Amino acid sequence: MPLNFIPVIRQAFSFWSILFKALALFFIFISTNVMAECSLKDVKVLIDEVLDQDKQKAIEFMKQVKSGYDSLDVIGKLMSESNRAKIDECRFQAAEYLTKRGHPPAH
Amino acid sequence: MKTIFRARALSMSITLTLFSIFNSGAYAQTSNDLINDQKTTSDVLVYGMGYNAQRYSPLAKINKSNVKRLVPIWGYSMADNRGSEAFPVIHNGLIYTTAHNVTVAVDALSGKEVWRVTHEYPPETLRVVCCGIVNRGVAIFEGKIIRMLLDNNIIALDAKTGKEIWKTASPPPATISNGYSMTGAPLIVNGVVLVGVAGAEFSARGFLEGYDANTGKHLWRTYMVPAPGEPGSETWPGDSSLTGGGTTWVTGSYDPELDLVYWGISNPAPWNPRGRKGDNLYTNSVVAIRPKTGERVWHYQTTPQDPFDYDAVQTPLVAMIKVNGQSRKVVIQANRNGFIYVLDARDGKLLAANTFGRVNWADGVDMTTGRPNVTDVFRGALEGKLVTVWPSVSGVTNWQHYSYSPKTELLYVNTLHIGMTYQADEPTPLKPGSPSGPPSVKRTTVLDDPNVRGFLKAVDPMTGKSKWEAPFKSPNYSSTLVTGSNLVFTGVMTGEFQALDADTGKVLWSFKTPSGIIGQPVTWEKNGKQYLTIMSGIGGVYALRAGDPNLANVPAGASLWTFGLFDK
Repeated sequence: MPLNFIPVIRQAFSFWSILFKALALFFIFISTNVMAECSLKDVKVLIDEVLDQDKQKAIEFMKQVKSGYDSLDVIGKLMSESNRAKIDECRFQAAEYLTKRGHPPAH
Repeated sequence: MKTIFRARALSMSITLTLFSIFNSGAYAQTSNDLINDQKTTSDVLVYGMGYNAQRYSPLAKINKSNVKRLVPIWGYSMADNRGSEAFPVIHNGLIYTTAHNVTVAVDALSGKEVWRVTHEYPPETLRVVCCGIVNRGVAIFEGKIIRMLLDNNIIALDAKTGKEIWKTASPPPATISNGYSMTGAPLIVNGVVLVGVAGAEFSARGFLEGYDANTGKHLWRTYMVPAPGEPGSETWPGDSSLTGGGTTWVTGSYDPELDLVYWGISNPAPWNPRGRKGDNLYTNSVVAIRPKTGERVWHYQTTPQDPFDYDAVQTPLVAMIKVNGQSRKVVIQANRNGFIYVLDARDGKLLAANTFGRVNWADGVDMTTGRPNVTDVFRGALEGKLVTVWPSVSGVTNWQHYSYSPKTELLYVNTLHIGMTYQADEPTPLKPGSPSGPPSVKRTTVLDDPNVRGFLKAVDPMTGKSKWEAPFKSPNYSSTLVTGSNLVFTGVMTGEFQALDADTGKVLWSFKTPSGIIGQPVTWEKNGKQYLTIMSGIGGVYALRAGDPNLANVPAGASLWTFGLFDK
């Protein structure tokens, strides 16, 4: 039985295998550490969805913004975590779009 | 024989000296040229129209009786739709100015482009640009045009050609991912390029740094917020100083006699004060720095444990004024928190502190301790209560520069007249790069009169009292310039470039530019004629974020303008 494992172990530690794993780890590292690029088109759709298509969320948004909370922060909190991340990647442009929609963020 | 040899040597050395003088006059702006900037009216070499940042010109050819004949000589499109906040530098018949991604050299008399360089930065840069995609201009030194880029690079270009001479990235941790960006203009002192950063709304830890103007080599960095264990760290709980703000995004001033640079330091991070009990040194301070080493010589803190974003970045202006009948060299700062501070330029001793707008967070400043006498409004804010505060986070003034006339002994300052409701909930933990401004507090705008949101004021710096106040529908975010003929020039966010009587505040002349003005006027002379130059192009924090209905229909579009008297 142990002899059967020898080719497997050899393969696991071969040069190409190690290189492949190292490259995979490198790309995972890069993808988690480099900021994703802003997609304004997606962000506009996400904002419009809250303000125009989800009545409850729109009411909640207006209520919180009227009480003084930051519109950019509020809109993000009314979204899923992944969509909130998209808003964050696009903060400046999202803020400009919210301003155009009549809800300028505080700063 | 010896005599002939000596005569030839002497003649050659005279020729070489003359050649070098001619050459230096053309393209080499020495440290002495920069020191004498305010006196040499044919050029504008230093941010603030001289190291003292007075924005005062002795030029008087354009005066109260002929200012109505002022007309545009030319306009130049920057081909950009972002805010135009840059200070134009003028030398040897060329005007150098910037947009966030462009540096240009333009012929001063014709407006023809001489060179134009485009700068690229990674798209993620904009994530941490809180308050407008802007740049405030270049510095000039020994034939080089030096500027900062949004992505924390400093670049030197050949003044003749625009060709890159050096480019240096600000060392770690000054990265976009850590919340840092650069929007200001450098200040060059004795060959050291002083550079500040933005990022207090993104949990950055602010600093000022120096670079060699000839090589771009990084020379020093002085953090404006101490790390745990360093002097001043006792004013921060735990390791909160490491995300504590204290940035340096507006250019400072310099006094050659004392060899001190004066720089205003920004608000602490987060805006919410409840997680950073203590004075939070050296945020919201005026600091005096030794330019060669970055050594902090003295500091004066204006708003300890600031809850309201009372960012003390306003350029400290150096002047000789009378204090108790004695002429004294002082540093004047019209602060965002609503007080004008007059400090001894040598040691930072407080000489006067008076309000120049509506303020209710403090009812004065203790002249012995230098600390504000805070009111229940301030105390309530620290406790998390809902309070109504004057001024708002935008301040009684913001980054826009004031000018000072040694003739009238008055400060000409564009102010805001806006309050806010404010409440700070329980604070949340921060890491470098995370938003630390608006999301950390609740606020709404409070207005006395929606049609008077600002004034241009002529203020006595020792008393804070106005000689006159000119109301504006929206506050002016343009800087002011005052001349030897007692004219004040400024821009309006709806596009008008205006001249006002420095003695009365009466508007004497106005010209509508295509966009809103948030730029910095300068004046200069050529062939015996006086000119004015300013950028037009709405943008910046107020236009983008205030929701001011007066500005809703002002078109974007950056352009550079030069004005002169109509001859015929």
